[in-house]
Amino acid sequence: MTERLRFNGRRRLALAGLGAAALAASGAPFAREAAVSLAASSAARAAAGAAVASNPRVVVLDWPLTEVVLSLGVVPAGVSRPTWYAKLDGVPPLPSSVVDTGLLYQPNFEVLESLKPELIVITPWHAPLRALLERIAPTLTVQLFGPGIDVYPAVHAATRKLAGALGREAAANALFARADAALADASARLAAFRATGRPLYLLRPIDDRHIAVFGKNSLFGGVLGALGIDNAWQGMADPQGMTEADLGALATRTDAQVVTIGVPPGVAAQLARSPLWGALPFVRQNRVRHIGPLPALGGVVASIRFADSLANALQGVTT
Amino acid sequence: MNRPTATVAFAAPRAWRLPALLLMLAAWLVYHTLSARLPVAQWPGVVLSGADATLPQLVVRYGWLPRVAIALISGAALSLAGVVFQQVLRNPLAEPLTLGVSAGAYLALTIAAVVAPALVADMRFTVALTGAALAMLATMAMTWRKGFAAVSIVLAGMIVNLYCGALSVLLTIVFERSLTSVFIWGGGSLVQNGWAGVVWLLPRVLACGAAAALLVRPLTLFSLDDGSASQLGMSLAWTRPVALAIAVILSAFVASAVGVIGFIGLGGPVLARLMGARRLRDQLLWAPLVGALLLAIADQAVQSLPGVLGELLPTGAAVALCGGPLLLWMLRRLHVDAPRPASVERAAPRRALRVPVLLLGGLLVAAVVISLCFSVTLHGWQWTNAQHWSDVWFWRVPRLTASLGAGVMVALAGTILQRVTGNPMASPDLLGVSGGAMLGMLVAAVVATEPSTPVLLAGSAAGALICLLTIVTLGRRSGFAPEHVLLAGIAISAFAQAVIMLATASGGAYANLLRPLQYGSTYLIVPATAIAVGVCTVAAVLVAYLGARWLEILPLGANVADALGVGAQRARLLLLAVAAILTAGATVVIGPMSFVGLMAPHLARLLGFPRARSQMLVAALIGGLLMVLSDWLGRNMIFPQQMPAGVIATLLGGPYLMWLLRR
Repeated sequence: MTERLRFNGRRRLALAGLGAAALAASGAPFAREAAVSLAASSAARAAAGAAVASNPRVVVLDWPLTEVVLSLGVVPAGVSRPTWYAKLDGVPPLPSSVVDTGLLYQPNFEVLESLKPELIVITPWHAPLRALLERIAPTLTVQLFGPGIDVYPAVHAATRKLAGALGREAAANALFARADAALADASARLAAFRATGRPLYLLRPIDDRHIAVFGKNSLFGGVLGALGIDNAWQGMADPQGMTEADLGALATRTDAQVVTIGVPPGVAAQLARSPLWGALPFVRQNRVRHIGPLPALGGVVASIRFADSLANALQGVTT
Repeated sequence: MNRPTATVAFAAPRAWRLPALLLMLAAWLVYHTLSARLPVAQWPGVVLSGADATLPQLVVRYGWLPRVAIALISGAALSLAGVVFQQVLRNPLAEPLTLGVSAGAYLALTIAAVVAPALVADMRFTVALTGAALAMLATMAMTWRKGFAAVSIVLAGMIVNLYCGALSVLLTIVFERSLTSVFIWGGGSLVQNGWAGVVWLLPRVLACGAAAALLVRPLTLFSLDDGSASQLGMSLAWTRPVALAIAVILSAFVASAVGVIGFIGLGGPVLARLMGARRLRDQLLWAPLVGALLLAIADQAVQSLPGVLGELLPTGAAVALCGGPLLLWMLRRLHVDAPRPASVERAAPRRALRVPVLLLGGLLVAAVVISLCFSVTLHGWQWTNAQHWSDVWFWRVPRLTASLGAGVMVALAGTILQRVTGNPMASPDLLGVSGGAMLGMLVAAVVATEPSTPVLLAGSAAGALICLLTIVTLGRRSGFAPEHVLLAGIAISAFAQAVIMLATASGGAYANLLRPLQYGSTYLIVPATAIAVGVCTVAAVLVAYLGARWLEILPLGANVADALGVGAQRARLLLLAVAAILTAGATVVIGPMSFVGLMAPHLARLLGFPRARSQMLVAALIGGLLMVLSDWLGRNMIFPQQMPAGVIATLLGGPYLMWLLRR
């Protein structure tokens, strides 16, 4: 993780253009680079110059992997249910020209075939389909999560793997440099909070009785680790690093700080009415901060967005 | 009126053993889970120490304690609703789940979560009650003309159930990611975060209980038939709707407070009767107590499970998990009083076979041609011409073959089961055979490192056979009384559903993969599977043709069959085994919830073909036609997304079957 934190100025300068192009539309934090980068991107792409065609025809059957592919500067030809990528708060945004290939685990084979892709990107969970997909195009399995796997390093490995397959190594390096910079920046802003030594619960309320908790092996849990913050949730979590808990399960760490991510409409008011929620030490002592919606599972861009939002949310938390 | 003396029901000393045992078990579990959270010395502080309470005491006060209370209240309410339903409908199988009431509430909530998510948080009860009431009305409307005959009402309930289930499945597939909280609710989670839920639920349940108590005397008369009851001066016209409304409202209260919890409404009254509570007033008292204890025990047991399992397993699923086997065990001792229904409803006069068969055959051919050649593409609807044919045949022909074969097989299986058990409601899905096949397939998919089609098929067949053997073993004692067989089937179905829910509830990605498998889809069919299904279908048709004589004779009764030289037991067993294998083959393709197995034989009979051979032929044609159409619609309806053919078949056939039932 420390390697990620190191600020590599030269590499960043050289490749900022390409990375920023990929992130061009990813919202306010990146607007500055986006403005500079558009001109630089085509030159950088030429420099990348691999054997793969300049814009390879890719079909991606997974939303987090769609983010990774987009962040490498490649617009896929087809994606499963593109509307869901937007609804799950994916950044960079997906152009509307991308073709809908149907359900996540039941892509429409006839649509895939008529798209004539050069590469199909799938997850290990698509294994039952793989033999059929291979009939259509070479298929690349990329794993972001699974039993015994930490999502955060897996995301970096997956980005490298996809960059290699798409001939976008330079874009990947630029992206990693951006991530290093963002983490270093967030880490500096979080120094005051780190000094309190408090562990942190990352929560996403589901309804007034159930809460999804981000565990150590989740993407954001990995970012917390890289920022030197303790995850207060020590329990088990599913392969994506998430677990579902009731409010009572959060009472074990009395000194914890809480950050909630994307509270559904109406649920905040319901929680406020709950005596059990009100009895929890972090609520009593006013140690709950909020972050807007982020995809629970994403790529490097999602981890950059999370680090930035977390630093904003915990700004001024010093006790 | 001559009233029996009150002491009879509890004369037997062993009647007290069961409630005492339940009470002890509940007390021990409560002690166990509470002492794991809080040392015994601190227990009084939970209630007494006011605002100074320690954090663990507060967690018990606002989390653990209300959860115990809500479990007791919900269990009592569901059990009470079960007693009222069973009394009014004169049907030992009636409960919120079998009447379609729970499914209606679940569908309403799913729709609300999709259309107006903000609505769900604040108006859960209104939404759930609307759905539950509409489902109940649909069930009643279908059976109105038949005078609410016991079997037809459960049949109608199951149809409503399957129909709402199919609609929910469609919504789930399209809107999955926005339905997380609905899934939790559907699993029946009793987690509480304060006393608000208890304060809301308790007075409402008490009011319903009081209303039910006031109705004891008129309700008791439902033990008689309608004619005698009317002669005793009671107006069935108002008692029945009032009593049903109470039961539906009770179910909706529980459904909106904690979610879908099945089996308690069935299990509570059954256990109460086993304890000796024969009369209605005894049942109204004891069934809620037993139900309350049952749910509390299940919930406490879930909480004492180690680690993640205890946190993830919804109580509703756990109830079905323990409830299924318990019910099967109880069946050995349960005496079902209900009269055997007439095995065959003769609706239409017999007709000549040739014209309908030619007509259905023609329709089938047309459907096959349309399915292969007319389809949505990226450029809209298109006839596939010869040059594109080489691109698409690989994707379309195997699916078509498998759908056709599965439709034929499940229709034959349904016909065989209905004739052998003498039960018009028998079908692979209602008898739990499909559930068993699904379970076997699930085990095969999880155990095998690389689940291939033969592995899935073998697992599915093994599961179906085990299920059917269980039912046969249980049924033999009662001479295959329809209620026994059905009850066993429902228990097995509930068990299978609970296991599947368990498998899909744990681990996000795994759930996403398993869910489509659970609905059944003609999606992952490769030529090898299609050939296997095709061969099975041909064999099935041959075997069915050979077995037609037995199927003709068996419904006449075991004595007649033996007199005619057909060993009734052996013939039954063989035919049931055939049905199991057919179901297994079909389940791999169309999933456990297809409905075709129930519908095709009914349609064949209602069209005027009551004799075994012609019924099977027409049923097979109808089954094949339905599945081919469903597969085609599933591929094209909301292109490029693909809907499971089994679910589409349910949606297609449901209304027609409902209309037929009403006639």
